[in-house]
Amino acid sequence: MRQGLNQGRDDANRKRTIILNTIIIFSFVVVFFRLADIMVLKNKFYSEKASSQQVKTEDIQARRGNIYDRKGREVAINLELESLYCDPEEAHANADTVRKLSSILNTEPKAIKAKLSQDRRFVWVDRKLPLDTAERVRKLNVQGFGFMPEAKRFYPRGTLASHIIGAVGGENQPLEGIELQYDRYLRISGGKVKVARDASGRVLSTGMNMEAKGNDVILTIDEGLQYIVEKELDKAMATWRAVAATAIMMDPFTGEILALANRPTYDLNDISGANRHEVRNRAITDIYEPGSTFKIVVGSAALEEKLFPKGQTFDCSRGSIEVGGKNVRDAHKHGVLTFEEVIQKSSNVGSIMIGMRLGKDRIYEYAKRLGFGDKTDLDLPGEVSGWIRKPDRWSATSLGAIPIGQEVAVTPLQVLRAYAAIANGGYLVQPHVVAEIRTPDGQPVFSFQEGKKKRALSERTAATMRDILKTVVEEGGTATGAAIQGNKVAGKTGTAQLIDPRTKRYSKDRFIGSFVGFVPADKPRLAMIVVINEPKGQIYGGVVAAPVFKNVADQALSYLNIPMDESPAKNMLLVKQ
Amino acid sequence: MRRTRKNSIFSLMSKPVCVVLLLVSVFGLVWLRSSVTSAAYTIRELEDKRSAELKEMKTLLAERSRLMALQNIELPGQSYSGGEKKLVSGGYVFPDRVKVIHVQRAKGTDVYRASYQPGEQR
Repeated sequence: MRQGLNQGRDDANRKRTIILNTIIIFSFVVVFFRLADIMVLKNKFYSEKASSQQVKTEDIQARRGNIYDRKGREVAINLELESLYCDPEEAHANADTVRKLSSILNTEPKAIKAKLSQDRRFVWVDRKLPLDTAERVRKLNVQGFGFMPEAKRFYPRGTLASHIIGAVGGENQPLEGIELQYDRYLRISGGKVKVARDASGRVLSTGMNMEAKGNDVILTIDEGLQYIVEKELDKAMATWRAVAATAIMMDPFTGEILALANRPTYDLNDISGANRHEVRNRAITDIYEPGSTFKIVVGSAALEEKLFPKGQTFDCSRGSIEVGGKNVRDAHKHGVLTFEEVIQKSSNVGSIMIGMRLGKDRIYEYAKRLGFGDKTDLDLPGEVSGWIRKPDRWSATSLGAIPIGQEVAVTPLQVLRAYAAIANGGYLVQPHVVAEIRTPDGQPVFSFQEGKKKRALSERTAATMRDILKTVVEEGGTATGAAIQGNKVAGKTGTAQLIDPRTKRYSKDRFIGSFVGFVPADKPRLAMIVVINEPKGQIYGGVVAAPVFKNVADQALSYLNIPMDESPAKNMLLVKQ
Repeated sequence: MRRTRKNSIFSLMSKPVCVVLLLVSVFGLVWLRSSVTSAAYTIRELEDKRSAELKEMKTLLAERSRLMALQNIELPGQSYSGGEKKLVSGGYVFPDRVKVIHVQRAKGTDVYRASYQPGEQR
């Protein structure tokens, strides 16, 4: 009986075991099929769903490269700001929140309400907010609002060197200057990167640099020299109540532009508030008749061609000369002048006499040799070539006009380059404003390489012209106002009449006064041109422009620590063993 | 072959030890993976902090650069006396070249001596 009882228990246990096993196996089969369904049949659906939950796409922030002056001072950098956006469908901002937002963003509440009522999923509320403002908005913790990092171009020096640096627009698109000319180096594309995130939105590190930066541009400009030039140009503008003014300072041997300024000017941080008149880089985009500064063309040509023996004189006592039926006068009657005195006293009559002896073909040839009528290929946008007509298109009066700087159109930079050729021994240099371009980690990408030097004048002619131009600044010359203590200055004044747009003739009250020269005259370190457009009260280049040259050169020589011409032992603290 | 007492204890212990080691390894791997993930989150948080600090640093550098501009250095030093603008101490003043003293470096390592005139007796 006991054995029968045990047999019955065993049967029951076996049944339970079979049922349990069946349930377990069935469950596994169910799980297997479900897994097969999820992993094989609906693989794509679930993997996409998982990916949308776990993976987030982030932008790699693209930042423009910085721009530095020749000594590494920042002149264009990026500010990291934040832009506020909202999703009007998700946004829940009550009247109080809108009022607080408008107070922080300094806008009208109705403007914010208008943005919140738009039928879109993404609306900019305010862009490029300073970090502290963004933090105040963030503390409000408004649902449906978010921030996106954005960079804003910032020019720490404001108006300084504005016509060189240029500016970018609201979307960081290049508009002017270096920003436009070297955009391909400064700009970089950002791209996107996928990052993993958890259910609470926390993001895993990718180990990647989430910011891409463009190349840095190093200019030839020196902030100190640029400041000196702009300060003195402002003074001249105020003194002469001029319409406009331009000054360019260049290393006459290398063509490096050390400073370039125009007036009127504009604030780089507020280009939207500037008009075309202010933004224009007059140094390379505006042409004018150079007047007497052009007399170096006939002077150099005559020397190069050895036309006149030493001691040759020119009878300018009449004070006028007739060419093609047109009478050209000197500002004052000079009497009999030597070749050197013609340039020193800036005699129109004497210059025309030299020009007539040269003939139009040689005048044209030497004007072209000195770079007139051609672009200098300065690395800034908008340069014009100016013009000088070919000899076969000269009129009967041209031979009485071109030698004295009329009937030709030049830019201030072209005139400066021609004088730099006299300063450096006869070579036409390549003006440039960019010295080097480097990657963010300092590797050079581009550096200015001077091409084969183009000789415009012989060394002897250049040396003679230097001596003659020194006399212009000495007693008896037209530019005594450009003389500085301790160093010889060489240069030439120019006073040109502007064309009256109403009468189409030379105006009697609108002039351009200019002075172009270099210093120290015997070992030139700086070549500079100053052009004052429509000064009031005085018109002569020797009065309105030469003092600007003097003031700038005086400070610039101090700034660059260039010694005086006289014996180094004099007034010098000698240190010896 | 005779089974020793030592061998029997070893064979008795080996299975549980293996099971324990297996479990420890499995949980260790899980722990390690979660630690790596949590370290990645921490690194990301630090990266975000660094990014915020860099943003602030860029702002401060921009401000420093603005303040260091020559026009800002010179302006505080200007004063007007008798209707004429003059530079006073505190601003940036360009040296007067007439009063500039040039110093020539002497060769060698000897002690430098200075003179206002060459050959001046001291």
